[in-house]
Amino acid sequence: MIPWLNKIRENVMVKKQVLALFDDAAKAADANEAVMKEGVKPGDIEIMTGCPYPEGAFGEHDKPHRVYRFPFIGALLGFSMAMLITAGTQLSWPLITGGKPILSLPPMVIIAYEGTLLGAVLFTIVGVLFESRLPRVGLGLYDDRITEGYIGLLLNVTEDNDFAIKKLLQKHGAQELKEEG
Amino acid sequence: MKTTISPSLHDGVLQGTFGDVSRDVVQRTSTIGGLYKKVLGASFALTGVGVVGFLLIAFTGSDDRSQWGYLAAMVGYLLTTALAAPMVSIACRSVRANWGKPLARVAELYAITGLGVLLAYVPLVVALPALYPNSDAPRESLRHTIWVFWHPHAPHIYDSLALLTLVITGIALLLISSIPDMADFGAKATGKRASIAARLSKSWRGTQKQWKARRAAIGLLSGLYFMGFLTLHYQYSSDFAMSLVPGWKDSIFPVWHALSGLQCACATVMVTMYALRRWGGYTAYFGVNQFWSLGKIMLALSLLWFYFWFMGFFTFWYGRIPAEMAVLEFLFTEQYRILFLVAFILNFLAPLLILVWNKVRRSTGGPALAALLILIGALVDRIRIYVGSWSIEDSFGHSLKEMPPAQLPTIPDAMVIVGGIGLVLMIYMIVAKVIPIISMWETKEQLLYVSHRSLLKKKYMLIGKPD
Repeated sequence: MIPWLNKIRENVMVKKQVLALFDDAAKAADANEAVMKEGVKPGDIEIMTGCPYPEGAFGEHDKPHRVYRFPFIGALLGFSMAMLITAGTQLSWPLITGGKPILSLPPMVIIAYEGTLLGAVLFTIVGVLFESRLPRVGLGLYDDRITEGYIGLLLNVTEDNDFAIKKLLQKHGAQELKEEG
Repeated sequence: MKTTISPSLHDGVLQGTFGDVSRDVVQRTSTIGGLYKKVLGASFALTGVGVVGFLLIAFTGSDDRSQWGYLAAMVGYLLTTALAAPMVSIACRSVRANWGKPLARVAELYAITGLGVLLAYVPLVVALPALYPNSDAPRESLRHTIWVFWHPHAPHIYDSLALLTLVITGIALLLISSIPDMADFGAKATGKRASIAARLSKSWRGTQKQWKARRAAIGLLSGLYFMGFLTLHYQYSSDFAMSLVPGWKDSIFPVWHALSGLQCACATVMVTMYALRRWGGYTAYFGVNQFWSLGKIMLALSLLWFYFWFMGFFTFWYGRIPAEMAVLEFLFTEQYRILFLVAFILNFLAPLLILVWNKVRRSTGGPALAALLILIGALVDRIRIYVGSWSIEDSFGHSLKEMPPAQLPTIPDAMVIVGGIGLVLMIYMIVAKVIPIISMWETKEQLLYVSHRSLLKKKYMLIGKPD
């Protein structure tokens, strides 16, 4: 089949979410590996934990984030604003003292630094909210036991592979399965 | 509050499961004990006393700028202690210090007290004189500041911006770092506080992407907080102290001011940690390891306190320039001699003599005592610097023309000082019942990486570092 047609087909297929809870991180890692072998795409798997685990600990694919881009944009905007304000105020209040230039750089540097800092801070906040998709309207599938050490494996499954995936998860020691959609 | 708890500390290693940590911290956060009520009540009362003191100064005092000296000292003290405290968690996280995990929240929770500092700062910025009173002829009378010849209210605007930036950064850091714990508290506890926590952490699920984005943001905000911290100390010490004393031009002073902030950051966290362990029942989280490790940093910073102070002092003393000698006389050897000696003893000599002994350092009481003395010394020192600077009537000129006598505190001044401390304590205690005071996610992370292992006849601690 033509690749793009295949993609459309996959997207229009009815998907539902399955949350598998594991009481042991090793079992969750094995289950994650197994479902990927079964054909579930990395983008359809979310691993939920009560504390940060090292990247790749569950054999998951590295999902890149763009948080680092945000402060750079913010810093650039903050710096530009600061330069605009400092140059603007000095030019609109031109005091020539001791033959020094109207645009005095040492204090301008302080404001530029402050503006850059503030821009970077504000955009970092925006960045983390955006990248974490917070706040969301609904929590989706979740279980409070995840904060107590359980590992949650959240999968997007289709009608085709639903049964096989659930069986696989149970085989790898899932304590409980929850479904939505 | 229960005294026997799970998890527990065994040979310096926290024992327990994720669930133990969650249940214990959630229970402690949701419980309001008798002692908590008493201390919170006292902090309310102190804040009230401070507000009355402030109103007395504002409405019955003179127009003289010197009446705000004690408020300037109080704000300087809070910048040095409460707003510096998050630096401890920033430092521990940046070097992946395992011992710092349980105390990270204790430190960064102080960021929220920045709201109180902002409030107390407003009257000061109003009372701060312009760079030059006559804008048509600025050179006639000009204060020597870092702002050269700029618009007359440059310090007012940009110092406020610096403080605002630090407060925003600190609160953002606190909220982003505590989202997982607020979600846990919100889900497991009931009541109004739990619902606030749940709302603040809405939709947190702990996916790997969320953890990753959060971690990146914490790293970024930590770096930005450090930058903001240094800027604010530079600007506040320059504009609210140095530039008010003609002839005081010292490039080491702002650096020393910030360094003193780092020393007080350790001291603030140490004292808070001791109180939580002694009276709050958090014995499993704060063991000797935490006190010992933080005590070593505090000792090093106490030695640096002396080094930086001496470098500044020596340059003035060796140069023998009359304007600089007058500053030395005013702030160190004559008017404020006693306050300087007290600060010197409490910020350098006493911590050195206490913490130099490993046996004392390796206890909970020894470092806490040194920390308490440092905090008292810092208060005395800030009074010396800011009350002295604000008592100078004529800030425009090249040298001190006349030296006012040491300004002793009036009753409203004393009320403002205790009120400032009460305000910080009150904000901290209220917020600590919405945001858990123990960083649960970091404590759980510690459980993943720390264990005991035997080597021949002895057990030792094995610490894993994920990256």
